[in-house]
Amino acid sequence: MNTSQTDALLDVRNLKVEVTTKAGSFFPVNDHSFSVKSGETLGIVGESGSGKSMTAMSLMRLLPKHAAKIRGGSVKLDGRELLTLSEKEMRKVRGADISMILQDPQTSLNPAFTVGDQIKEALKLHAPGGRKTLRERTIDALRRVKVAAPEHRVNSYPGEMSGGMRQRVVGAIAISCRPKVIIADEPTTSLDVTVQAQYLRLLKELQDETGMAILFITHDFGIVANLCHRVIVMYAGRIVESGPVAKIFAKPAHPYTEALISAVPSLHGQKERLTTIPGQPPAPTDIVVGCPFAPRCQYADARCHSEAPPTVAADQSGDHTTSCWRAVEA
Amino acid sequence: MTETPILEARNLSKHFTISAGVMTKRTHVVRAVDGLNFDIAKGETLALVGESGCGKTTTTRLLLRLQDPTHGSVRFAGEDVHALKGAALRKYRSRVQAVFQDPWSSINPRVRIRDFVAEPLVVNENLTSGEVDRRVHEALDAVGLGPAHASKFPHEFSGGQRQRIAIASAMVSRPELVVLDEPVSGLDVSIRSQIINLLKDMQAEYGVSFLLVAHDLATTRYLADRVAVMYLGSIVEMGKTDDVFDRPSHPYTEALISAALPSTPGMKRNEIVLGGEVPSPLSPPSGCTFHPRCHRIIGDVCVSKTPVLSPDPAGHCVGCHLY
Ligand SMILES: Nc1ncnc2c1ncn2[C@@H]1O[C@H](COP(=O)(O)OP(=O)(O)O)[C@@H](O)[C@H]1O
Ligand SMILES: Nc1ncnc2c1ncn2[C@@H]1O[C@H](COP(=O)(O)OP(=O)(O)O)[C@@H](O)[C@H]1O
Ligand code: SF4
Ligand SMILES: [Mg+2]
Ligand SMILES: [Mg+2]
Repeated sequence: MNTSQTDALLDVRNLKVEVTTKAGSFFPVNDHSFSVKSGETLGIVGESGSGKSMTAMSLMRLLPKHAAKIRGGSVKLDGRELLTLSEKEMRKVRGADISMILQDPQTSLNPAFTVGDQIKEALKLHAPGGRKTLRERTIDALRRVKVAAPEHRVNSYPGEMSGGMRQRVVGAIAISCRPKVIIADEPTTSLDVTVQAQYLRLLKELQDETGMAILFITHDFGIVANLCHRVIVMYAGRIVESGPVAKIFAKPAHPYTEALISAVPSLHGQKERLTTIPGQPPAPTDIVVGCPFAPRCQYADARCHSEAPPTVAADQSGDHTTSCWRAVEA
Repeated sequence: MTETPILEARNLSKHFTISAGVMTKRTHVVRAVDGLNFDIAKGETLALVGESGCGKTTTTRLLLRLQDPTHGSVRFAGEDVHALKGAALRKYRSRVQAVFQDPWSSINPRVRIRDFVAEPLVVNENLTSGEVDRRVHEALDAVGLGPAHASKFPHEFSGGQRQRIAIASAMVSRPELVVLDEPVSGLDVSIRSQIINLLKDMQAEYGVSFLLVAHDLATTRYLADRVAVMYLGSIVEMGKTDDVFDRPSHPYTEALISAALPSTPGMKRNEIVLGGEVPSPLSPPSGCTFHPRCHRIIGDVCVSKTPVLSPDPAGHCVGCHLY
């Protein structure tokens, strides 16, 4: 298998994050390997608690200080190892090379400052002067995310904007320094369908223009189907399947992926009863023996319950992998 | 339909008066809901769809009698809901229930599941404690939870289980109508389909009617028999779910449905992109309130004349001068 993609912009290998709580310690990110190229959008799907945000936070090196620690692996951006950088060096990387859009624009914007001031702050931190004034560059940033009348909007407070517009302001801050990689953690979850469609279109346009790579965290398969090139599926802290979006939908290799895709009602008037996945995911501190999905899997046999499946190729192409005993036998 | 509907909303309106600012005594009027007419039949699911701020929650609050209308009325089983008093009102509260996105945010964490589920039965003063227990166990059983759960506390349950408990509580009094406001949006995909199936089963078993509000259009399409599309406090289109999704008549419905993402890759989508944002309900546009964003605007008539909701050739009710 082709493990270290040479053309990868962001290359993550065997990343492990440990969380320590009173109830015990566990690995919400357990041996993750994936990569993303310039101009590519990688979807990260999985249910809540599967470790999506922890993965994102560890790439940014913004894990909650005392609770979580990186326990191994490597994160390379353009060939440069991020995990060994000092905090001072990492601060230069954040925003300038890799930046993040959070789910809730309410919490990422300060209600007490105008959106213009908040964009300026980001610009000052990273982007060197240039000939335009800071105010002009702030207005440009708003214009790039299609905020109407940006000359006026720079003076608005977050509370005076709609949810969709606030999320675009957060996007403006994230892209203000033209990062190579954007990590978007469920940015459209609470938006109306029309606003979501607008936002996704904007992300695609910005990507075409700048060639940035996007890591899009979501639990919505509609977004994966329409925005992403490749996808990794997480379950209980593990990557259980990864591959090109078209393949994953046409021929999901992991039973969890298969079940998830068929559990979503179709927009096109399906009438049959929805497929369900019985039970619920394990609690983080549960001791998992064998495949973490086994208790809910319709195909599970004795081996699935006792031995963890290896990650193997799902087909001959080498770009589609899965962690399931059924793929080993095939 | 010959049977009388379980619920009839007529010219239902709710206008909020808000202050124009701290330095002035002037006020503004927000027409949150303006002149709604709709029925809900026995055993039917009617869905309200539309972007945030279009008046869905206000409509449900009027039906639940959490608010009084500015004009118009809601009739339930033939009676004016907002005129009910005393015992008749208590009866109404047990016949009409609700399930919200996060039913636990307002719940005392020290309330046991039994007492939470039994809440709608409390108005039924002549039930013995044994009878209440039996009803609670029945309701928990119907949502797939054993009687042992009755003595537990909310924090002992996952999100999906809590939503099951909320449904058990909403169904325990055998209501005729349940308002479902975003019943699955807080849940993971793998849990969502369990709850959607459960709601369908409940309806098949008890013949209860649902008023559904869900921003996910695929879920709406799957659950609803009919949909009413709202824009700035008014219904702009109403019809059978499949008709409205497959052949939307109103330009706004067309745009709204075209924005939903298809559930499989590679499917062609002709998205109709609306210009601008939804205008403020403080100063809604003249004529057809959708006209500044409409991609099929006819002309002056749209700017000056308010269209009325009337049947179109496709069998939907549409409020648009094109029909
Ligand atoms: N600050 C924290 N302290 C302790 N545990 C945490 C913290 N944040 C997340 N976790 C735990 O880590 C696991 C993964 O969480 P997260 O990455 O947020 O999942 P997702 O984003 O996929 O919903 C969960 O079990 C969660 O409870
Ligand atoms: N108590 C209130 N006071 C003033 N305005 C309100 C109040 N409740 C709702 N509104 C306004 O009424 C409109 C409709 O709101 P709502 O019914 O919550 O819409 P939806 O549920 O469709 O998002 C919005 O413009 C909202 O700001
Ligand atoms: S009435 Fe006119 S403006 Fe309104 S939706 Fe119809 S065509 Fe468009
Ligand atoms: Mg998360
Ligand atoms: Mg609402």
